[in-house]
Amino acid sequence: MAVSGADLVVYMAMNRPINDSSTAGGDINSSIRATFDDPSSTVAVNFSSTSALDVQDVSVTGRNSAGTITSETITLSGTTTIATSNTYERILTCVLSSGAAGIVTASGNGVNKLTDIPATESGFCRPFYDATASSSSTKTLYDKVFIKNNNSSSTLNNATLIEVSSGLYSKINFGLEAIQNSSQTVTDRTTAPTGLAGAALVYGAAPSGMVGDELAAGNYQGAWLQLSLSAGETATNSYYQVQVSGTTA
Amino acid sequence: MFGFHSISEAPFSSLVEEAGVVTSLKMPVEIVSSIEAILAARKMPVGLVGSLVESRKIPAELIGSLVESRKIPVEFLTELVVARKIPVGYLSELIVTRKIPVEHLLSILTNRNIPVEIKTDVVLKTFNLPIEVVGTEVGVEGLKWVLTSRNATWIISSELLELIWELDSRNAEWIISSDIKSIWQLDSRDSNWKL
Repeated sequence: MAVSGADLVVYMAMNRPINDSSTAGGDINSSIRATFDDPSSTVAVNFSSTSALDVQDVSVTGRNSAGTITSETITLSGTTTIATSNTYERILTCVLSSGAAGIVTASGNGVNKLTDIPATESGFCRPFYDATASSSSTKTLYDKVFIKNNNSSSTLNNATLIEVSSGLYSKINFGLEAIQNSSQTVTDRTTAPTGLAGAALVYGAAPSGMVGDELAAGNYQGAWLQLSLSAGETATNSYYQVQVSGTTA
Repeated sequence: MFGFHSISEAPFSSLVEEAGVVTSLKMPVEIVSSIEAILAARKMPVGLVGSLVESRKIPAELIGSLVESRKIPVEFLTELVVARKIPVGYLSELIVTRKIPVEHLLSILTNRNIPVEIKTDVVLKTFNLPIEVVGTEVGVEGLKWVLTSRNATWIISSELLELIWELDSRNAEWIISSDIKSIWQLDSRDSNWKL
């Protein structure tokens, strides 16, 4: 079966630091995705599942309309829609206590779907949690994501990753890990990782071929994101856009 | 054997003439390939390259390298692909390496009558990773405000926060939350503060 766009997913790493002193990176966390949409306005978040078996807890952390980080844990009710007590202007993390039995949909008002949590997975997360600039000096942070080929049999050939010139592209670059399925960590997210692909361990925005120029079935390519903040950086809620391409038989 | 080294060193006008001669001679593809290297080095106009490619029936592989090295515009590539009947498999590679916009891809597909399922040969997916930057850290020093009473009006200012509040103390009584007590110095000479 040929690789389709739906087979390609960006996941977070096992270590997802919430400050500048915790360990970052590690192996892939194939349950937590790094992609979702924010609510279109500050609202409670609704959850519902396609399976009646989904009655586990879901922990939601985000910012309210005042910009304050707020969290809560509510219990799913199968196919019945339940809503958070708090309202959220943006989501930082959303994690189920166990893998979903069905497809759990998180949404704001009406059709404002944030994302689906597929069966067996457990949530989604924003890279660079609470990344805070310094008032007096530049600051560089690193966070790790993975591009995984979830196809069970086919390889993505000529696989490349490229940055799209929108959102925070001028502040973020990426560097591919020199080996696939890597579990490299760094002591904290201010520490630059080593072992990147390429001659000079460079971070860049240009098309970059994945290791071996392919992403075999079930394999994943680690990519460190480098966020460069200037002194006195203005607060921003935006996104970083990347494009994965390749061919498939 | 046709003196291509001299062509590469010749003035541009001569090169154009030589290209015409080459075309009329129907030379083997390998030789045309050498010419292409020369053309690339000489930055020959795209139109001339195109006519040469068209008349000489250069293989698709060579067109690809030509396109890559010369950065030929997509519009021209489209014409070339359609005219030359490039194999679908190779077209896929071109689409990936050249990042052809969807509009042009559609045009190519339409003109070539490529079966729809061939499009699945190319996988292209865009991801939006939501990311926030909280902005500048504000040190505790910036929250140490001093309140001084002058007449019946209290003025609290903070240049750091770029805020100026004017508080009317008509009843001469202020109520301040306890967490502020520890960082504000309150002058209560003429007022009654409740903390």
